[in-house]
Amino acid sequence: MHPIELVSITKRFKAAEKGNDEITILQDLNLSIVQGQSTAIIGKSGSGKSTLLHIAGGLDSPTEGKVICSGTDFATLDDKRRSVLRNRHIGFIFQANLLLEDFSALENVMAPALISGVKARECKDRAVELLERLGLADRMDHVPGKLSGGEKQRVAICRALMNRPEVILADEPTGALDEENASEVENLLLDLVREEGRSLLLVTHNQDFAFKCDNVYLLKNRNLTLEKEAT
Amino acid sequence: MFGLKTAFRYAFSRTRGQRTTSIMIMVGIAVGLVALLVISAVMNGLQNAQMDQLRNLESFDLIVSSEKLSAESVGSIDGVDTAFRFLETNVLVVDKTSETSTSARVRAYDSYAYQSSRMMESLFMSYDVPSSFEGLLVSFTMTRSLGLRSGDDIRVTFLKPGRTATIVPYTSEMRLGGYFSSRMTEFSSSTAFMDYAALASIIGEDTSRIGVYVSGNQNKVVQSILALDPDARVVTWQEYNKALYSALMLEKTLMYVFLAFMFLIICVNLKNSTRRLLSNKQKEGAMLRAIGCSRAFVNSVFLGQGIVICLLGELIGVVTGKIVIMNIQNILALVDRLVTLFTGSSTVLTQIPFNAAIGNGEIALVCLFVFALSLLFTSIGCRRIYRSEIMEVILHASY
Repeated sequence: MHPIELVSITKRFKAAEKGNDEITILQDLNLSIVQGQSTAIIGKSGSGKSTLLHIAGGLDSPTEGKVICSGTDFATLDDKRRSVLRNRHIGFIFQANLLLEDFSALENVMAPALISGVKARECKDRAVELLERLGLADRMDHVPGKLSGGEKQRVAICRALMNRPEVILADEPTGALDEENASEVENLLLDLVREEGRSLLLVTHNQDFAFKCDNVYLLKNRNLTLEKEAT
Repeated sequence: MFGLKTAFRYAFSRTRGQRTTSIMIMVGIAVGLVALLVISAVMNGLQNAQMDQLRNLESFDLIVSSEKLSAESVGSIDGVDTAFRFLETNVLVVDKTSETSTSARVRAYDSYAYQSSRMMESLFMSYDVPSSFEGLLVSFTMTRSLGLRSGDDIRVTFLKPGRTATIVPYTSEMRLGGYFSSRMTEFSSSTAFMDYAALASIIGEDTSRIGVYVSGNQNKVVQSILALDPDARVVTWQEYNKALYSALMLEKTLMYVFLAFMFLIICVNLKNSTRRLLSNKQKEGAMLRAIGCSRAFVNSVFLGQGIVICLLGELIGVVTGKIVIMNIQNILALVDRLVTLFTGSSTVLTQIPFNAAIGNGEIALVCLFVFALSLLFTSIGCRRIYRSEIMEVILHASY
């Protein structure tokens, strides 16, 4: 069973608030994320990479087609069940430093577990372990405002892995970082995903980063072309 | 638990001046609540003082007209504090020296009445109560209008039942027996007192009625009186002063409506402030949804944030309101001194004795009303956030 499977996905947006004109972003697209493998999607800005990632994570709905996450079609679930599925099976990393500003790094990492109902003392050890592995042992009690861009993104990686999800969805995770920090975060992310045996779906326009993954697809003309396949 | 913790953190978040906005909203709610409570308490105090005077002087709690019942028998009913016979008639009072005249109502109470502290305290504000008095006891206001002094000779014309005619005028020469002063100006300026036996000898005792002060349940006392004499006519103080009582009730209702409108203005500001608070946190709301919170959960976090702010605002409002109400006389005196300093004239409120009063039930009702309105307007403020799509917010945050 694939952690995430996209079947005949088409996504259209209205061209304007008023009127019926529509723009097709994705057309009859199919993609299967293989368990334990990393997959990158590259493409020009505006090609629909982020939209594809959001559809894969159930944050957006396709106009046509279906998204199957751990054997369950997102379209058959109400908002609450879809949220539970997202919480347990998917970890997100965004380009923007989307962390809870009023919570410490440790609390941010613990958040997905707390949302799923795990008690704080039960999930603290795992959060501490992740932060230590990513070199943030001395930053645990710091709020995001006191962390650097690279540190924030490392906290986001820890948070994405907190609930041991089957798949991590990363949208330009190094897009806002300088070269040195970006390279460090890239390696950390890929190493951690491999160590934990998770799948990764990465969206980036950084070709070097993308080709470190097992599979690489190019999103062009509203569909995917395989550029590299895991041996 | 995580939702509650997040709501608390959001309410007092230090980012983007969120804490200042929250404090401003709290202060707004507190000030609105203090205004509602203090104005209610002052109005209650003034109205209670007015109603107490009506009950103590003008109409008592009950007035009983009965041929069978005596004051003693009514006084022995459970729940009755004091019962006494009284006579009442209209007279013309003339100062014999200056021939100045004024019309008045003469009342005479039997000796039981003078045992009631309720009436005595209301009737004689600052003067010793005469154990017995001869002649007419008039108010200070009336002596001033007639230019009289204690001991002056006056002529009083009564209307008494005649042998052939229904009523005939009867003039009696008497002396001004003394003064009284009540807190009820309208009562003082139109009423004089006489000895019961003296007035009964002039107009007869047939027209006497029984005034009743009630210490227990008024309705039960009425039923007990009617059980003793089914033909008795019992008039409650509310019926006796129906017009004024209705006016006071209407005044109170209108006051609440006016105050509710005032609070609505605060609520509009609350809505705008809430919208600002939530706009700051829109990105985090989207992120919470991305990591597994349902739309309802995120909504409850933002609503919880509003509830936390509202409840704290209410707490501050109630405590401050209580303190202001407890010290209202001092505050009014201070305001009065300031007003006098600038305008040279004193405010009316400080001249009227009253005790600001508001019951816990009324406080709870006002708080509930404020809470419901605050919650409603917080929800309206949240509406745009509820409708926002996570993907759009996250994409917007990325660029």
